[in-house]
Amino acid sequence: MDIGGILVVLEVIKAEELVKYYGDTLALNNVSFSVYRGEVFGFLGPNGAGKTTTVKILTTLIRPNRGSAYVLGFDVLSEGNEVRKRIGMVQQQLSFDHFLSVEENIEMYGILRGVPKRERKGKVEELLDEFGLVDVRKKHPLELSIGQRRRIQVAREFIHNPEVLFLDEPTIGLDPYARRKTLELIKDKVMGGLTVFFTTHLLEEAEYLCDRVALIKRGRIVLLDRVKELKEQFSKRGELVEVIINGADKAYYNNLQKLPSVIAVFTPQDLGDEPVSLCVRNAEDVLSEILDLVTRDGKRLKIFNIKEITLEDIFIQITTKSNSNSV
Amino acid sequence: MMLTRGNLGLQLISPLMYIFVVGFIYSSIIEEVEINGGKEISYTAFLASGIIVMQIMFSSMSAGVMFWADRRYGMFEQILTCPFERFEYILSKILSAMFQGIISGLVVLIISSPILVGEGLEISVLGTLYVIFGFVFGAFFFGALTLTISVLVKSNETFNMLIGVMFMPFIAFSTIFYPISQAPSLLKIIAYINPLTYASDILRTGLFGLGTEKLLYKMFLLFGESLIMFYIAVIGYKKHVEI
Repeated sequence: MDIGGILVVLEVIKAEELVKYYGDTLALNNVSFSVYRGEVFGFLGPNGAGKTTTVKILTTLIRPNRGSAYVLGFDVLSEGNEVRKRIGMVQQQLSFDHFLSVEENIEMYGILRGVPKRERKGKVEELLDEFGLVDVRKKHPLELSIGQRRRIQVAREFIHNPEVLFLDEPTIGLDPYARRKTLELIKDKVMGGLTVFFTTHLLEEAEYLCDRVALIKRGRIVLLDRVKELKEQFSKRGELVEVIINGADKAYYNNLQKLPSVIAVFTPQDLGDEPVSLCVRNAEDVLSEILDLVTRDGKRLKIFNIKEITLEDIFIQITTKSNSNSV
Repeated sequence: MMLTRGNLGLQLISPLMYIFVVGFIYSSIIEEVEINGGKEISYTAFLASGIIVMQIMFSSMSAGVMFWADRRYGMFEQILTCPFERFEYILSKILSAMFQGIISGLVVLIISSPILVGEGLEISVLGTLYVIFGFVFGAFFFGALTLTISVLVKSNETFNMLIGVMFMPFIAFSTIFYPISQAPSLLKIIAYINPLTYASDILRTGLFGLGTEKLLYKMFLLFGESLIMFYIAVIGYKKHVEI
């Protein structure tokens, strides 16, 4: 371990200038961050941004081309086994032994994790109860709903009481109820002192669960802060409004950029009936400016909403190409 | 792939057909077969002992099948986040396949024992050790071989196709169906590097108490080839599976 004593205590995960190539494609470009004990760290980004690659490096599944990473003070490259002893990982893909029942799956995981037999039985019972799987304990995963299968996947990761849990988009394919239920179960564990590294592109999940978030885009971290501070920081830049103008196309919306009160325009890829987001200096001023414009052009303003800035808005502002460089 | 009673039952159909149908039909054409040490046994007994080894080979293929099942069902990466080294994962698949191969070979041995007993089956401590050696390293080699193939190919379909294509030459260029002394010289050369030849010869020595001429050499070669194949499986895995 190269890290000094105090860092080992505080920094549960430390990534330093990670670089990863897949062939000629650069997947991670000098990614650095730290995750502290007991926090839920959200790693957000669009598909293909580098979230799973980062998780795979931190969980010792793949090696970076450059850079270093430490989990609980252990080097993921040279002390992989020490890292693996102390972590849990819920991957995107549903993963089970389909020949085994729910309880056998959890127990087998205990064997793989080296949990002693005398502790294992009790722990399996505890997890079945805690994750609401008692009634389906004898069933095989394929007989269960996606939500129940996901619960097995999360439950088994606690058989060895990990210090750090990696969640790689753990709610994919779940309905809103199952999603909330899964997040609540994780939140309960966080109360008990667990550190969580959580990747998602569902921003309301990150807002619900995370203390701090990093936003990764094309392999680079473009912002990293506490959720509350990020929202405050973005609110200071201006207000956010959503508009729909009858008969307006993308070019028309992009022209709104020329209005004095508009800072930036974010048009969705497929316009359809979706509203267009505007980052504006003052919502009242921009309303009168838009009304003047649409009246002049013979169009009609259908919707004008002033929005409270959410993490999702920040995400969209960062990841969507806007026609302004000022945000 | 789990070794269930159903699986085992299905796996036994083909070897039993060979022993009890093909073996008996061919024994009317080929009377006695001379094997190492000059001892003569019936073709049925010769074939039965060869088919036991072939059965071990086929059952050991499950190493590659298990690897692909782990990948398909998402367990591969999940297992690799558990606290053990990579070579232990590979070894576990090979040992598991080896276990299946040994069980399956043992069942064929027991079922075909009436034929073997009638042909002078000799039970001795040393003979049993030879049989165990043939079983263990025959299964280990083919477990490692199928695992190597499974890490080199990109899809389950390619894996199944390659396995089907690869095992025919192994059987054809071995002493499963005929003694090496009666084979053409080119075939002999290939048979001498084929681990299936050695596994069959070692097993026959153990079962029929034949002369131990070149036996240590054969055992050494089978052992060495098994270790080399395991090493190749580990290297192949590191190169092609870990990115």
